[in-house]
Amino acid sequence: MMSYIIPKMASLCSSGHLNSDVLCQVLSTLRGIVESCYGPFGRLKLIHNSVGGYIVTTSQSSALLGNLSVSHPVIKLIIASVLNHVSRFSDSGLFTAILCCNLAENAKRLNVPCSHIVKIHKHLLNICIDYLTSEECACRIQIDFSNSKTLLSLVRTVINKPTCMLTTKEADCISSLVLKAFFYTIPSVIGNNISLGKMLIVPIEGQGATDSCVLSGILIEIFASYSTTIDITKLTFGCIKIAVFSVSMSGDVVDSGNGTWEVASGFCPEDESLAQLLKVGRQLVCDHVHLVVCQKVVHPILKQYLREQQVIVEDRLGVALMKPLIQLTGAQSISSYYHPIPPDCYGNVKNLCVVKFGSKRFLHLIPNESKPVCSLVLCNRTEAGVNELKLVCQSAECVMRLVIKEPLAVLGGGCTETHLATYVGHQSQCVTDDKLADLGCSRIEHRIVADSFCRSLESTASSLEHDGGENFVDTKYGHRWSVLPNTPLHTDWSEAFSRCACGLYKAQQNLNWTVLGDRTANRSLEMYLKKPSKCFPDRLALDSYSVKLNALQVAVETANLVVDLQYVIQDQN
Amino acid sequence: MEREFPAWRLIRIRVTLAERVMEIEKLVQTAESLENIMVRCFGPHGRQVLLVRDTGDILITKDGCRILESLLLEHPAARLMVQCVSAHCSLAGDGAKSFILLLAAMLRASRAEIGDGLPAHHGAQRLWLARGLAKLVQEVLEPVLARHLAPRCGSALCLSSGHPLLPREQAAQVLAAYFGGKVGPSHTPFLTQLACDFLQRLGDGEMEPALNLAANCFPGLHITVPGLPVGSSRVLEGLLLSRGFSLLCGQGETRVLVVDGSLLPPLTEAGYTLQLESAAGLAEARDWARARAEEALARLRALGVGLLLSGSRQPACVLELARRQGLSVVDCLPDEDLCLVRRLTGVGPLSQVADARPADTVPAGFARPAPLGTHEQVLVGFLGCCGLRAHSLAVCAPALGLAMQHRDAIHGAFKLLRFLLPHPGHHDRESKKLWTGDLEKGSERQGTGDLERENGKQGTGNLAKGGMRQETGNLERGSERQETGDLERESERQETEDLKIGSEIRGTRDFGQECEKQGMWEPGKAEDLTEGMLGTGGKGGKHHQPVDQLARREPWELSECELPAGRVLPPGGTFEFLMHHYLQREADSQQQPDVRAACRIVADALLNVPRHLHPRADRGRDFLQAHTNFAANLREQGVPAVVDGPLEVVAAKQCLLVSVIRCLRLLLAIDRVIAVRGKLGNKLPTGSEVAE
Repeated sequence: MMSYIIPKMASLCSSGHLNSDVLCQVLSTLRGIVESCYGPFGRLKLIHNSVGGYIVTTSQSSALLGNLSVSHPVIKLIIASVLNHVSRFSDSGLFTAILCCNLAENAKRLNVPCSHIVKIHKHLLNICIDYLTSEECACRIQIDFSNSKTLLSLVRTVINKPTCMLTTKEADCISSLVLKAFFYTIPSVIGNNISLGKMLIVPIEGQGATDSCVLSGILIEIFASYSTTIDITKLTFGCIKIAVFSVSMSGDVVDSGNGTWEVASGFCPEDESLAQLLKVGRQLVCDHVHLVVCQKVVHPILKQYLREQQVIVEDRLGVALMKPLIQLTGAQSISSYYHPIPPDCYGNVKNLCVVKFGSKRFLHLIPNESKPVCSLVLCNRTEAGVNELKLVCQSAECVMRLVIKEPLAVLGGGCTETHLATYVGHQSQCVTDDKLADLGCSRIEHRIVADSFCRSLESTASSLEHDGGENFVDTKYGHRWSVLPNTPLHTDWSEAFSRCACGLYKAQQNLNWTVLGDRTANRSLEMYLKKPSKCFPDRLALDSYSVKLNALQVAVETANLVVDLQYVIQDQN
Repeated sequence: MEREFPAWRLIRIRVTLAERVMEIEKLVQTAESLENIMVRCFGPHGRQVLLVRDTGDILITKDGCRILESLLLEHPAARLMVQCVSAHCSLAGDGAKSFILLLAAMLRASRAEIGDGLPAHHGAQRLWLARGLAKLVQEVLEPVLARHLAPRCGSALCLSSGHPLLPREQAAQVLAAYFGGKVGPSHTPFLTQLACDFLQRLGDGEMEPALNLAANCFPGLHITVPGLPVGSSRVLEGLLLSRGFSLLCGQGETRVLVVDGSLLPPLTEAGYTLQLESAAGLAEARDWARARAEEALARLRALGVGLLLSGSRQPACVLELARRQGLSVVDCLPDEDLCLVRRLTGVGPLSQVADARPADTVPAGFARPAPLGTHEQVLVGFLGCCGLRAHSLAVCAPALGLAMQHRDAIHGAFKLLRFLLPHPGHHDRESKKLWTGDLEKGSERQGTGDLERENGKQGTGNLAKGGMRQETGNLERGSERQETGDLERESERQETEDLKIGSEIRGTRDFGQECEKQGMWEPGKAEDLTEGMLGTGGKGGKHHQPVDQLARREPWELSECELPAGRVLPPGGTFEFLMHHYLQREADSQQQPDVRAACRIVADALLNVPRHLHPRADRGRDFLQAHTNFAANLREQGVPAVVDGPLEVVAAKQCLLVSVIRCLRLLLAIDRVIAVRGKLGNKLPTGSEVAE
């Protein structure tokens, strides 16, 4: 064999990528793309490659950032960070990306040594985190499990993404369905090890979103038409016996050893396997099993035989369904057909029925008592729509799981960001000399960096506004208020403002609104750290607390990395 | 404040001739271009570098070794230098940037030294210089360090009940200086705390027992978790296995057994033939195999085993049987994990489960899925032995590249701390042997296993000739033979293992006694000791080499003086200034001209390190200021004060100096570069690395 040595190119080592102007330009390009997708009124992006073929319509961070092809190493770094966050928390990806870009861009424009910026950023982040985790934080609220209101608000914020193209009514409907499905997955009996059950999402295209529903139990898709030949109504109601096979029942002979086989003429091991299969089949019939499900393939002869004996057979279920199936039916998966099946392996369900959604038909397994397994049937008109809906429902489930661990939520709609900016601005004005010495920077540097930090938070909040409206912030609560575009200059406050963006506060006389991002106004000095009252309005925009906390930290740390970079070494092969 | 500097390419000289003379000028150029890259991230003021691979992977690093290794260099001398740096770093875990700075400065000084003569004499001059450098390392360096430098150092070790102990504060001070240069100031306090916590918890309150394990087996003791803030990194209790549960029944306190192969014996094995004539025969063979598996599991249950760890995959049938017995199973574990389990608990994998003894099982506090991580992993709370308690480190960062940087930095930190303990090189080699020995033995065992099986076949040959190989009796007998064989080998292995551990323990105990003796002996004789032998700083941590101890040393270790363990100096160029001073003094008093030249070269080169410690803008001024202050201090007080700040390990610095000088000798000794077409084998002599 000939071997070639291809001369490799020497690495290129440059700081050209990190030139402030170049970097700021690419950062603002990325920010521009991401910002316009942000929030419930964000715009969609159509991603294609010039060759043709598949196109993606999305506004979700994972799909959007995952599909962008970028060459700039710093942007690659930011995208990798955001995607890592999303893969773990499934939400707030766009927020992370925007905040990170804002921070890095603003910091790059400052005339402060990078190491100082990094330190001050870290210090400010700690102020934010300490505040958010403290009891007197005014922008987080306790989740009330006795009432579905706050939970529903939380789910609605996750569901309400532009890509799903849902009307308000549809979004409400889907949110309550997701919440209901999530409640199904909480086991009714709490043992020593608490583990949540499974919520299986079944996507159906071609139906309206309001046709979605939640079913207790599992749906198995039926591909062939034979199942209907078995009259399900004849089955004994209340106790339908099920056998669950995890082993392939195709009749292949397998042996893990690496020796050789010598088979006498006239004897075929495959025939023997089939005989074993049929023997198992006979036992199944004798044991009055009504339904046989198999993770892998079932031999057609065995299938035929069982069907003749009025046993329903479903194969090729895949590994994902096995665990919930076992949980639902109480069966044990059977991993060998060479030996008689012990009777305690069988499981049972209360009832079986065939349900139809759009063009698909399913076998619905209804459990005996309440089991923490349910199916969420999601309908939408298009395939892309269904896929997006599935993604948001999955992230809603992830958010709900996090809420169970930490029953807190932060205010959405940009109010948390503006509130934090106000708080940080206030705190940075009274920074002590000790702290400054600790950070190794001058007071003026601290002031400049803190200002840029607050500006980044505020502009992240204001990027929720897409339709030319103006963003305001009040001095009492530090919340974001949005004013419709083209509002006349001399309008009375009661006409311009109604509710803050998160919906917690109503407009009042003494709120003293200022334009968001206006750092000249000396506000926030007498900010009330007032905890929100216990009774909340119905429509509140809430974000998951754990997700937001992580997103904030990831954004600042990634921005710090970008600021701290000295040069880039690129492999050019 | 962004400073512009043009993109530059590393030395691009196409080697068109088949051979060319390796001129010292070229070497200096090469080293300087590497130096140019290194200085930008050198010291606490240096910043991060973003590496982009051809695959598009991103790596963020300040680690010199990592940067050098990922550069694709055209000039062979540059590649040789990088090779030397990696060899040094794999041992010491730190010092790549200083390495390049020192090397570049030494090459410059050598060029000046050689440049006087005629070009024709250069080769001879270079060799002469290389000889001088070798003599410097052999004859001058150790005595200078031990006689002049050691008295000016503080000690990080303190003695408690005869054992040298590394207190947490001292370790933290050393690590603070290390992380400052390795990852930058923003994460330094956090990583320092994390590394100390990990060592303390791994060593059950003390750092030393854990240090060797952590330095050698760190890959098995951590996970990197992208997507979380750095602050989420933490120490997890229990050993982290790299696979998830295949079967989970109960997470509470239990006993653990490690097995080698599948519990369900395969119907055939290599070298065997299964002769089938009827369906009944096949069924019988299957029944036999299943009965073996059932037997094994019943045995495990009887021993109280609740968790089975397995190197090979366990078939679904075994998992089903295990579920009936209430056993949790983790299978497909890589060899590294099994070795680590053995090091932590002293129990190796078993190949025949049916006659497992209670001694083969180990207790574990818990076994549960790991809380972090992208794929499923298991945490097993082994109670451990030899003063170790299983703990793992979860290293989190927003991007994977950063997490990897922190992981490498922490690994390097353990290697560095090891230099504080007595005889780091010696320990290192021994433990390395132990660690690789495990692996080797693993494969060796398989090899002999096959051989024995071969023998087994011959032994039972007449039976096999009989034809009915599927008869259970035969199979059983066959496996019995293997069993005893395995058992024998097992015990043999354990014995050697024990011996090794024993010798290690004995070694440290010797040292402990040695120290104790000194401890008792010192107060009375302190005045009698010559000034040169007097330690400073450490409270009771002064242990010198008594004369009778020296006499007992191995001949190859015999030198007139050795640097005592645990010596530390404040960072910021103290070591370099001091060594510069002493080596210059040495150069003046030296009789041999070649050693004198070598001393001058090294002394001058040492100053290159502190020169680059200061920020770029006012580098020259700050450096001169620092040097003047230092000289003044040295004149006035004689001894620089050891402050309570960060600390540097002198032994690591010494190791670095020796490595650089070795690299320089290598470079000086090369006279020609030969370019060939075709692939070069990877049969490079590893002597230079092993000779460490």
